[in-house]
Amino acid sequence: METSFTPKNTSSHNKYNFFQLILGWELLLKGSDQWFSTTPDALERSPEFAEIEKLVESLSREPGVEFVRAIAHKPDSLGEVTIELLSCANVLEQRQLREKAIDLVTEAEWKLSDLTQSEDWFFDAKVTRKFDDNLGQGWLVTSRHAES
Amino acid sequence: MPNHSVYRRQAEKNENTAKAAQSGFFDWAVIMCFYAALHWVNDYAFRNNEMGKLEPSFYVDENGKKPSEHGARLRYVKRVARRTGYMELETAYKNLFAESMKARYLQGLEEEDCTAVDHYKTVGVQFCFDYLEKVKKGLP
Repeated sequence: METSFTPKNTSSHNKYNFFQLILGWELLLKGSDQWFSTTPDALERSPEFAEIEKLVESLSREPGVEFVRAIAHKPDSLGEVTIELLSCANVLEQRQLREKAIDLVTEAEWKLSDLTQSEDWFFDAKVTRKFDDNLGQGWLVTSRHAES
Repeated sequence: MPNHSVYRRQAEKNENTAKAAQSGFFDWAVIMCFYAALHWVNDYAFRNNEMGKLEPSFYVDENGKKPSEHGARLRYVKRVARRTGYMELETAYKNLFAESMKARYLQGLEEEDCTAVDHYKTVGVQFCFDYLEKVKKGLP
């Protein structure tokens, strides 16, 4: 079974449905919520979650982006997050997209450092043609389909 | 002649290698730009008596987890950028690290069925030298 999401030449809406279908099958087959564990309630009300949601929303509006997801790398913490952008743009456009994304995530990281008086925030961004379905110890914070 | 640190001398050699690699070994130009940046960071830490802040153990979290060597250096770069207020140091270093991952491990190129040397032959490598200049500017 195909377990990774690879964009096809279909409409954006169909791509999103396909992605959701794969997510559902993964959950059923693995019988675990670890892979797609979601943000705990307490974190969902935090300023950092709001900041990450804003980032994801903003990046989903960038040209050439199909889907955006935020992956946290520490359990029960949003201190280390990678924003992943799914895009089939050409290599030059992908680089420009990554530069833009890194600018935005770094601005958000600095904002949270100012807000919390802590340097323990580390955000990064990557652009990919294919999401890796193995998140290791990471977990999905939030995701968003590109606005068409 | 001033007695520069071993890190600075290595950074300069790496940068010279990167420039020489522009003649055809484009992937190595990218890789050596990154390793030049890495040693410029080391040199800055050395000059500021902060070598300990490059150690992963400096960033151990409450669960006892520590970042990789590269992860620790990225966190140090962030702290320096914050201290000097020069965000481009951090963004340039992150971008250069991402490009080096592409050049070293073909991240994003496997799906293209394209070798790193062919990729950079097509898109050029000057932008990596631009990242490197920003990193150097941020490490006075």
